[in-house]
Amino acid sequence: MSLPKRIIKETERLVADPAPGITAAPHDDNLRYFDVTIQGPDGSPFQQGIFKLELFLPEEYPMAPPKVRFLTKIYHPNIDKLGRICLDILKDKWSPALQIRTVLLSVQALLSAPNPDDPLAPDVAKHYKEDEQGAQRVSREWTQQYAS
Amino acid sequence: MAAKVPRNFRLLEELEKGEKGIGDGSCSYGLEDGDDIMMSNWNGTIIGPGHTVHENRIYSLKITCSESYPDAPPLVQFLSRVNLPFVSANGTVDPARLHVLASWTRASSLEHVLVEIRKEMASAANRKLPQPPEGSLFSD
Repeated sequence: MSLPKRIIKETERLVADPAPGITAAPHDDNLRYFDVTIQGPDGSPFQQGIFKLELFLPEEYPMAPPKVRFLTKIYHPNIDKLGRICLDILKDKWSPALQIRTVLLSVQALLSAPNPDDPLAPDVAKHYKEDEQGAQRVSREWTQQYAS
Repeated sequence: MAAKVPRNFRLLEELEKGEKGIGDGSCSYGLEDGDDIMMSNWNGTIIGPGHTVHENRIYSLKITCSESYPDAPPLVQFLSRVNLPFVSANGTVDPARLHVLASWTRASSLEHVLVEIRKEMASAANRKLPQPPEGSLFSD
Protein backbone atom coordinates (compact mmCIF):
# COMPACT_ATOMS: atom_id res chain seq x y z
CA MET A 1 0.00 0.00 0.00
CA SER A 2 2.65 2.50 1.03
CA LEU A 3 5.24 4.04 -1.23
CA PRO A 4 8.84 2.96 -0.54
CA LYS A 5 10.71 5.46 1.61
CA ARG A 6 13.33 5.96 -1.07
CA ILE A 7 10.71 7.19 -3.57
CA ILE A 8 9.22 9.56 -0.98
CA LYS A 9 12.69 11.00 -0.23
CA GLU A 10 13.58 11.42 -3.89
CA THR A 11 10.26 13.12 -4.62
CA GLU A 12 10.65 15.53 -1.69
CA ARG A 13 14.08 16.56 -2.88
CA LEU A 14 12.99 16.90 -6.53
CA VAL A 15 10.27 19.30 -5.49
CA ALA A 16 12.21 21.22 -2.79
CA ASP A 17 15.55 21.42 -4.58
CA PRO A 18 15.00 20.92 -8.31
CA ALA A 19 17.95 20.50 -10.68
CA PRO A 20 18.48 23.56 -12.91
CA GLY A 21 16.21 23.47 -15.96
CA ILE A 22 14.33 20.40 -14.78
CA THR A 23 10.95 19.99 -13.10
CA ALA A 24 9.34 16.75 -11.97
CA ALA A 25 5.98 16.47 -10.23
CA PRO A 26 4.20 13.25 -9.28
CA HIS A 27 0.58 12.65 -10.29
CA ASP A 28 -1.82 12.90 -7.34
CA ASP A 29 -3.39 9.55 -8.18
CA ASN A 30 -0.13 7.72 -8.95
CA LEU A 31 2.92 8.76 -6.97
CA ARG A 32 5.19 6.62 -9.16
CA TYR A 33 4.21 8.58 -12.26
CA PHE A 34 5.80 11.99 -12.87
CA ASP A 35 5.18 14.86 -15.24
CA VAL A 36 8.61 16.15 -16.21
CA THR A 37 9.90 19.17 -18.10
CA ILE A 38 13.45 19.62 -19.33
CA GLN A 39 14.78 22.88 -20.66
CA GLY A 40 16.91 22.54 -23.80
CA PRO A 41 20.55 23.18 -22.80
CA ASP A 42 22.17 26.47 -23.86
CA GLY A 43 24.42 26.09 -26.85
CA SER A 44 22.43 23.10 -28.17
CA PRO A 45 19.90 23.20 -31.02
CA PHE A 46 17.27 22.61 -28.33
CA GLN A 47 18.09 25.85 -26.51
CA GLN A 48 15.00 27.74 -25.29
CA GLY A 49 12.79 24.72 -25.78
CA ILE A 50 10.74 23.31 -22.93
CA PHE A 51 10.33 19.57 -23.47
CA LYS A 52 7.62 17.57 -21.75
CA LEU A 53 8.39 14.04 -20.62
CA GLU A 54 6.77 11.37 -18.51
CA LEU A 55 8.56 9.13 -16.04
CA PHE A 56 7.36 6.00 -14.28
CA LEU A 57 9.00 4.10 -11.43
CA PRO A 58 8.18 0.41 -11.94
CA GLU A 59 7.46 -1.96 -9.07
CA GLU A 60 11.10 -3.16 -9.13
CA TYR A 61 12.57 0.36 -8.79
CA PRO A 62 15.34 1.00 -7.74
CA MET A 63 16.50 -2.45 -8.80
CA ALA A 64 15.14 -1.66 -12.26
CA PRO A 65 15.52 1.74 -14.00
CA PRO A 66 12.74 4.29 -14.34
CA LYS A 67 10.86 4.38 -17.62
CA VAL A 68 11.15 7.75 -19.35
CA ARG A 69 9.68 9.09 -22.57
CA PHE A 70 9.48 12.44 -24.37
CA LEU A 71 5.96 13.69 -25.02
CA THR A 72 7.19 16.69 -27.02
CA LYS A 73 8.30 15.91 -30.57
CA ILE A 74 12.08 16.25 -30.88
CA TYR A 75 14.54 15.82 -33.74
CA HIS A 76 17.38 13.93 -32.07
CA PRO A 77 19.25 10.78 -33.19
CA ASN A 78 18.77 8.99 -29.88
CA ILE A 79 15.05 9.73 -29.44
CA ASP A 80 12.48 8.06 -31.68
CA LYS A 81 9.10 9.17 -33.03
CA LEU A 82 7.31 7.88 -29.96
CA GLY A 83 9.66 9.74 -27.61
CA ARG A 84 11.57 6.65 -26.52
CA ILE A 85 15.12 7.40 -25.43
CA CYS A 86 18.27 5.41 -26.17
CA LEU A 87 20.42 5.97 -23.09
CA ASP A 88 22.61 3.29 -21.51
CA ILE A 89 21.67 4.10 -17.90
CA LEU A 90 18.01 3.50 -18.76
CA LYS A 91 18.97 -0.01 -19.88
CA ASP A 92 22.01 -2.19 -19.10
CA LYS A 93 24.04 0.53 -17.34
CA TRP A 94 21.36 1.18 -14.73
CA SER A 95 22.51 1.07 -11.13
CA PRO A 96 20.35 1.43 -8.01
CA ALA A 97 22.79 4.14 -6.92
CA LEU A 98 21.35 6.36 -9.66
CA GLN A 99 18.23 8.40 -9.00
CA ILE A 100 15.40 10.16 -10.81
CA ARG A 101 17.48 13.34 -10.63
CA THR A 102 20.57 11.76 -12.21
CA VAL A 103 18.44 10.17 -14.92
CA LEU A 104 16.87 13.49 -15.86
CA LEU A 105 20.25 15.25 -15.81
CA SER A 106 21.57 12.54 -18.14
CA VAL A 107 18.63 13.04 -20.50
CA GLN A 108 19.32 16.78 -20.46
CA ALA A 109 23.01 16.09 -21.20
CA LEU A 110 22.00 13.85 -24.10
CA LEU A 111 20.39 16.90 -25.71
CA SER A 112 23.80 18.63 -25.68
CA ALA A 113 25.63 15.56 -26.91
CA PRO A 114 23.67 13.60 -29.53
CA ASN A 115 25.28 10.27 -30.31
CA PRO A 116 24.53 9.35 -33.94
CA ASP A 117 26.68 6.20 -33.64
CA ASP A 118 24.11 4.60 -31.34
CA PRO A 119 20.90 5.74 -32.99
CA LEU A 120 17.29 5.04 -32.16
CA ALA A 121 16.04 7.20 -35.02
CA PRO A 122 18.20 5.96 -37.95
CA ASP A 123 17.06 8.63 -40.41
CA VAL A 124 17.86 11.45 -37.95
CA ALA A 125 21.23 9.84 -37.12
CA LYS A 126 22.10 9.57 -40.83
CA HIS A 127 21.23 13.25 -41.26
CA TYR A 128 23.41 14.16 -38.24
CA LYS A 129 26.34 12.17 -39.62
CA GLU A 130 26.16 13.44 -43.19
CA ASP A 131 25.21 17.06 -42.59
CA GLU A 132 25.46 18.05 -38.95
CA GLN A 133 24.66 21.72 -39.54
CA GLY A 134 21.62 20.91 -41.64
CA ALA A 135 20.41 18.42 -39.04
CA GLN A 136 20.91 20.92 -36.22
CA ARG A 137 18.87 23.41 -38.21
CA VAL A 138 15.96 20.93 -38.31
CA SER A 139 16.39 20.31 -34.56
CA ARG A 140 16.14 24.06 -33.98
CA GLU A 141 13.06 24.35 -36.20
CA TRP A 142 11.33 21.49 -34.37
CA THR A 143 12.25 23.07 -31.03
CA GLN A 144 10.60 26.32 -32.10
CA GLN A 145 7.59 24.53 -33.54
CA TYR A 146 6.87 21.97 -30.83
CA ALA A 147 8.76 22.92 -27.66
CA SER A 148 7.96 26.57 -27.08
CA MET B 1 -0.39 -2.09 -3.50
CA ALA B 2 1.41 -2.96 -6.73
CA ALA B 3 2.72 -0.16 -8.90
CA LYS B 4 0.04 0.88 -11.37
CA VAL B 5 1.56 1.15 -14.85
CA PRO B 6 0.27 4.35 -16.51
CA ARG B 7 -1.56 4.12 -19.84
CA ASN B 8 1.28 5.29 -22.08
CA PHE B 9 3.94 3.00 -20.60
CA ARG B 10 1.48 0.13 -20.71
CA LEU B 11 0.80 0.80 -24.41
CA LEU B 12 4.55 1.03 -25.11
CA GLU B 13 4.94 -2.44 -23.56
CA GLU B 14 2.12 -3.79 -25.70
CA LEU B 15 3.62 -2.16 -28.79
CA GLU B 16 7.01 -3.73 -28.15
CA LYS B 17 5.41 -7.11 -27.58
CA GLY B 18 3.42 -6.75 -30.80
CA GLU B 19 6.55 -5.78 -32.76
CA LYS B 20 8.27 -8.98 -31.65
CA GLY B 21 5.24 -10.98 -32.77
CA ILE B 22 2.69 -12.72 -30.60
CA GLY B 23 1.91 -16.43 -30.43
CA ASP B 24 2.04 -18.33 -33.71
CA GLY B 25 1.49 -15.20 -35.81
CA SER B 26 -2.21 -15.84 -36.42
CA CYS B 27 -3.01 -12.56 -34.65
CA SER B 28 -0.99 -9.37 -34.86
CA TYR B 29 -1.34 -5.68 -34.10
CA GLY B 30 0.56 -2.42 -34.39
CA LEU B 31 0.13 1.35 -34.38
CA GLU B 32 -1.86 2.74 -37.30
CA ASP B 33 0.55 5.69 -37.46
CA GLY B 34 4.09 5.31 -36.09
CA ASP B 35 4.08 9.04 -35.22
CA ASP B 36 1.02 8.79 -32.96
CA ILE B 37 2.64 9.82 -29.68
CA MET B 38 -0.59 9.15 -27.75
CA MET B 39 -0.79 5.64 -29.25
CA SER B 40 -4.57 5.79 -29.61
CA ASN B 41 -5.16 4.13 -32.97
CA TRP B 42 -4.12 0.57 -33.72
CA ASN B 43 -4.46 -1.96 -36.54
CA GLY B 44 -5.19 -5.57 -35.78
CA THR B 45 -5.02 -8.57 -38.10
CA ILE B 46 -6.53 -12.01 -37.57
CA ILE B 47 -5.83 -14.95 -39.85
CA GLY B 48 -9.00 -17.03 -40.00
CA PRO B 49 -8.68 -20.34 -38.14
CA GLY B 50 -8.27 -23.52 -40.19
CA HIS B 51 -11.12 -26.00 -40.76
CA THR B 52 -13.72 -23.22 -40.50
CA VAL B 53 -15.45 -20.94 -43.01
CA HIS B 54 -12.77 -18.37 -42.10
CA GLU B 55 -9.86 -20.53 -43.24
CA ASN B 56 -7.24 -18.57 -45.22
CA ARG B 57 -9.12 -15.28 -44.79
CA ILE B 58 -7.28 -12.27 -43.43
CA TYR B 59 -9.38 -9.97 -41.27
CA SER B 60 -8.40 -6.36 -40.57
CA LEU B 61 -9.58 -4.58 -37.47
CA LYS B 62 -9.31 -1.10 -36.04
CA ILE B 63 -8.67 -0.80 -32.32
CA THR B 64 -8.95 2.47 -30.40
CA CYS B 65 -7.45 2.97 -26.94
CA SER B 66 -9.06 5.86 -25.08
CA GLU B 67 -7.52 8.05 -22.38
CA SER B 68 -8.83 5.58 -19.78
CA TYR B 69 -7.14 2.51 -21.27
CA PRO B 70 -6.33 0.02 -19.71
CA ASP B 71 -8.88 0.79 -16.98
CA ALA B 72 -11.44 0.82 -19.78
CA PRO B 73 -11.39 -1.70 -22.64
CA PRO B 74 -10.44 -0.64 -26.18
CA LEU B 75 -13.05 -0.03 -28.88
CA VAL B 76 -12.78 -2.77 -31.48
CA GLN B 77 -14.15 -2.66 -35.00
CA PHE B 78 -13.84 -5.03 -37.94
CA LEU B 79 -12.83 -3.31 -41.19
CA SER B 80 -13.18 -6.59 -43.11
CA ARG B 81 -16.76 -7.75 -43.43
CA VAL B 82 -17.55 -10.71 -41.23
CA ASN B 83 -20.66 -12.41 -39.89
CA LEU B 84 -20.31 -13.10 -36.17
CA PRO B 85 -22.92 -12.72 -33.42
CA PHE B 86 -20.88 -10.11 -31.51
CA VAL B 87 -20.13 -7.95 -34.57
CA SER B 88 -22.72 -5.30 -35.47
CA ALA B 89 -23.87 -4.32 -38.97
CA ASN B 90 -21.14 -1.66 -39.23
CA GLY B 91 -18.37 -3.91 -37.95
CA THR B 92 -18.26 -2.70 -34.34
CA VAL B 93 -17.60 -5.41 -31.78
CA ASP B 94 -20.34 -5.30 -29.13
CA PRO B 95 -18.40 -5.19 -25.84
CA ALA B 96 -21.30 -6.80 -23.98
CA ARG B 97 -21.16 -9.86 -26.22
CA LEU B 98 -17.44 -10.59 -26.20
CA HIS B 99 -16.29 -12.01 -22.89
CA VAL B 100 -12.82 -10.42 -22.82
CA LEU B 101 -14.36 -6.94 -23.28
CA ALA B 102 -17.35 -7.53 -20.99
CA SER B 103 -15.11 -8.75 -18.15
CA TRP B 104 -12.21 -6.39 -18.92
CA THR B 105 -9.53 -5.85 -16.24
CA ARG B 106 -6.14 -4.11 -16.30
CA ALA B 107 -4.60 -7.55 -16.84
CA SER B 108 -6.39 -7.86 -20.21
CA SER B 109 -4.59 -6.73 -23.35
CA LEU B 110 -4.96 -6.10 -27.07
CA GLU B 111 -3.46 -9.53 -27.64
CA HIS B 112 -6.17 -11.14 -25.50
CA VAL B 113 -8.88 -9.38 -27.51
CA LEU B 114 -7.59 -10.61 -30.88
CA VAL B 115 -6.88 -14.12 -29.63
CA GLU B 116 -10.37 -14.41 -28.14
CA ILE B 117 -12.05 -13.14 -31.31
CA ARG B 118 -10.14 -15.75 -33.31
CA LYS B 119 -11.16 -18.45 -30.84
CA GLU B 120 -14.80 -17.37 -31.23
CA MET B 121 -14.47 -17.72 -35.02
CA ALA B 122 -13.59 -21.37 -34.48
CA SER B 123 -16.31 -22.13 -31.91
CA ALA B 124 -18.92 -24.74 -32.72
CA ALA B 125 -21.60 -22.05 -32.95
CA ASN B 126 -19.65 -19.77 -35.33
CA ARG B 127 -17.35 -21.91 -37.45
CA LYS B 128 -19.94 -22.59 -40.14
CA LEU B 129 -21.80 -19.25 -40.23
CA PRO B 130 -22.28 -18.02 -43.81
CA GLN B 131 -19.77 -15.24 -44.55
CA PRO B 132 -19.73 -12.21 -46.87
CA PRO B 133 -17.43 -12.38 -49.92
CA GLU B 134 -13.77 -12.65 -49.01
CA GLY B 135 -11.92 -9.32 -48.98
CA SER B 136 -15.06 -7.15 -48.73
CA LEU B 137 -15.07 -4.25 -46.27
CA PHE B 138 -17.76 -2.79 -44.01
CA SER B 139 -17.01 0.57 -45.67
CA ASP B 140 -17.77 -0.81 -49.19
